[in-house]
Amino acid sequence: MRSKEGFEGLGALVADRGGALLATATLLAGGPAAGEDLLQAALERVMRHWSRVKDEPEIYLRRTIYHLAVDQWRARRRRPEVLDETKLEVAALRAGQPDVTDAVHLRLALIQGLAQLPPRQRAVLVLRYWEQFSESEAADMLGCSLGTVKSSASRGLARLREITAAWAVEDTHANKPIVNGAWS
Amino acid sequence: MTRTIENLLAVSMREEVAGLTPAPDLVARAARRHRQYTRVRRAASVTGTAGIAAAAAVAAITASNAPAAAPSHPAASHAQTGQAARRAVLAAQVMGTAAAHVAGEGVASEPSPGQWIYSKTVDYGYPGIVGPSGMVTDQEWITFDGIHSAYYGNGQLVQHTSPIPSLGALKPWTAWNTWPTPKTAYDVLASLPTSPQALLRVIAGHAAGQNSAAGPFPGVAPRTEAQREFDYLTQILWNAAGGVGGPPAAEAAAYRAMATLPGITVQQGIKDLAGGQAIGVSDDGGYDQFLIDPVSYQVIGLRQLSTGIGPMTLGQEIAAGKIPPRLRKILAHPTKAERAKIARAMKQRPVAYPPKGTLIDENVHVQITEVPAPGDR
Repeated sequence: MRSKEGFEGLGALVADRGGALLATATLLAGGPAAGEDLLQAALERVMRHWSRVKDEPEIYLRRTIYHLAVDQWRARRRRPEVLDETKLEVAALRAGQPDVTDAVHLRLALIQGLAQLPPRQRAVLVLRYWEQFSESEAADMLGCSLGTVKSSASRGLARLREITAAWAVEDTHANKPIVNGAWS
Repeated sequence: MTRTIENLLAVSMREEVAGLTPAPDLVARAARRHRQYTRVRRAASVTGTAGIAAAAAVAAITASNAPAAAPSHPAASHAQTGQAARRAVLAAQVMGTAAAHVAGEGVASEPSPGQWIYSKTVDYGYPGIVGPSGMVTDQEWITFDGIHSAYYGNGQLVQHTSPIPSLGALKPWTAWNTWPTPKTAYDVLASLPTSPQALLRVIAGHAAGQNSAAGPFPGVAPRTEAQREFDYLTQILWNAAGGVGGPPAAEAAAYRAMATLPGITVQQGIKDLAGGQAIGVSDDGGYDQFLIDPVSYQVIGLRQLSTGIGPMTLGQEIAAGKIPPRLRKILAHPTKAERAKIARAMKQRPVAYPPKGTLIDENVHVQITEVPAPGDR
């Protein structure tokens, strides 16, 4: 790479943390290709402000990914590219068969449901349940109030609960211990 | 078995993105686009030595000597006054000719947003000072709105779509500030008033808020208001030149306005890296220039010569009482590891900076053409 402006730190950062950054961008953008475009756009933005951010490029890069996802991505593409109603319907139809593939379909439905959410709700859910951020950390990352994070999370989860109703997911308020991978 | 929606979502997300790896050229791709659209004063930022992030950024930058005077500006003494006046007259003449020419021969109409534009560009950076690798020739395709771009990677045409928001509803300045593209540069030029004074007032308002990129090195005079206005106008013209140029009347107005800025000089008879002739227009006596074609008078490149003054090492900065603000906190309470890195950085010796007048940075268009599709030339 010819890094004329001296973005060596950025190259190392992406080499080191690229997988995690792309994962976040993929969840926010609704697919790996769109995620890579989002990550690239965020990198371009960071380069534009390099002299200010080079001391802490990762923090700034992550913030930029979220901000682009919430503010700008939405303006260009209101619905993410992977949105596929047919797949969702097929997945829902098969929901009645509780076999091994059931888990795969549920995952598909959840991920597609996530992709259909308004950008801020999606970003809040990614921050809370992918990054494992607290509500106040999520608010800080998005530059919004704690109240907005709470309401976005609750609306987003409600929508996902509707989508996955066929799988009889229990209500959050049941307050049961979380066991990862419990359904598979 | 309990399956809360939060739990399911967390696991689904993990499985969905497991094992993702970005394309190996992702940063390079971003850098290409960044370079294409963002013109900043690239005052030789060299990085590379070990160190805490902040220390490295400073310490790795080295200087030939202790701070010296800024590059000479006109009108310092009586002897220089006559020469400065002659330079100003020449600059006004050349820019006047350029303005008259582009007003008549410029872009006929604004291209459609999706119009593909092919560019072949020669790009040089002084090895070790501006990038590591000397001269490269780039070929790129870009749509006028900047959303789609393409280039050859490993012999294959790679296409990329940038998530640029729909800028249509935005005012030209907001759009330009959101994303510099040929179109947003074109539109912002078109929105400028044509009288030089009014135009510069608008530019001054926007230039004032600009972060001055790498910033001047300690020991080099800070940039004046006129220089910041020159930089900002240059940045817009250069981005427009990455498309098809600016609207004729606006481009002419920008040239005329530049000619009224104090300290503007032109350098004739420059041979650019593509082997063509060029006229340099500068705000600092010829060290930092943009290049215009002596036939079409369109902007074709950017060029920077060494002033002979490089940045100081961390040790020199601290000795001069200029601790960078971002380092102050670290230096006040360094961890053990930071202390060792600072000690190493302090011992770093300055390396020679290219002698005054050496070409350190040039970016010049060999060809810019509207084409039907990416891959066409």
